[in-house]
Amino acid sequence: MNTRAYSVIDTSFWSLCCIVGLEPYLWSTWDALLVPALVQQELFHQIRPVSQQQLFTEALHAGRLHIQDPHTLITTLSKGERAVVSLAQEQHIAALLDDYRPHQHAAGLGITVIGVTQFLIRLLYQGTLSVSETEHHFEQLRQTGATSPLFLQWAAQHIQQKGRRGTWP
Amino acid sequence: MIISGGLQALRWHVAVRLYTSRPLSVSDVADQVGVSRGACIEWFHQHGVAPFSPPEEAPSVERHLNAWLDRELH
Repeated sequence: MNTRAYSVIDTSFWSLCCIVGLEPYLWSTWDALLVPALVQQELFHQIRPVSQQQLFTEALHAGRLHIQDPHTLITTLSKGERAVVSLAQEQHIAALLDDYRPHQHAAGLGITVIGVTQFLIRLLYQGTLSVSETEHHFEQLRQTGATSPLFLQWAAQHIQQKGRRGTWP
Repeated sequence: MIISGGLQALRWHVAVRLYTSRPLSVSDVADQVGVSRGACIEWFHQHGVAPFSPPEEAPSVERHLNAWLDRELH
């Protein structure tokens, strides 16, 4: 698998990984993740679950997360996503974000963008997760209602295919 | 009452303008106009505002994600 030492993570990706139990797998995939200060602020907004904030703080103290801001901000996105995409562009690293429209926008800029469904399917194909484990996380992800139906549809096809054939493509 | 209703209508008008003119997520739009994400999704759905992942984009999304997966695994 083409593992990268660093990527930059957005609020949506962190939040969903915590909710569906994929957060531990971040650290077997990436050596560390960059987090813009704006994303940190979003995660520590009072409406966010404390458990997500605790995991964030632990990862920060363990040196797995590094706060880093881009030199310049692109103007067409908002808040944390803007900083994430800008930093990915500056450092030529992948952006981990899950919201559909910013995902598509960043991909259109030529940035490698990874959503949670992509992360899940990559874990499946690399053998980290079994088909049944993947289905479990997928169902949790579907129930959040936060991931695009198009991403879910794509992931469901791959889970079925892996279950039938065991290989890609 | 009238003023309150007018403000709410203005809020949704701004939400639609933001959502349809910029690549913002529903969460961002909801935050910016001061409503919950769920309320925003429900209102958009009821008023025919284009979904955040239009079905007609499915083929291009699938191609894009499969190309990414191919690069990752080979």
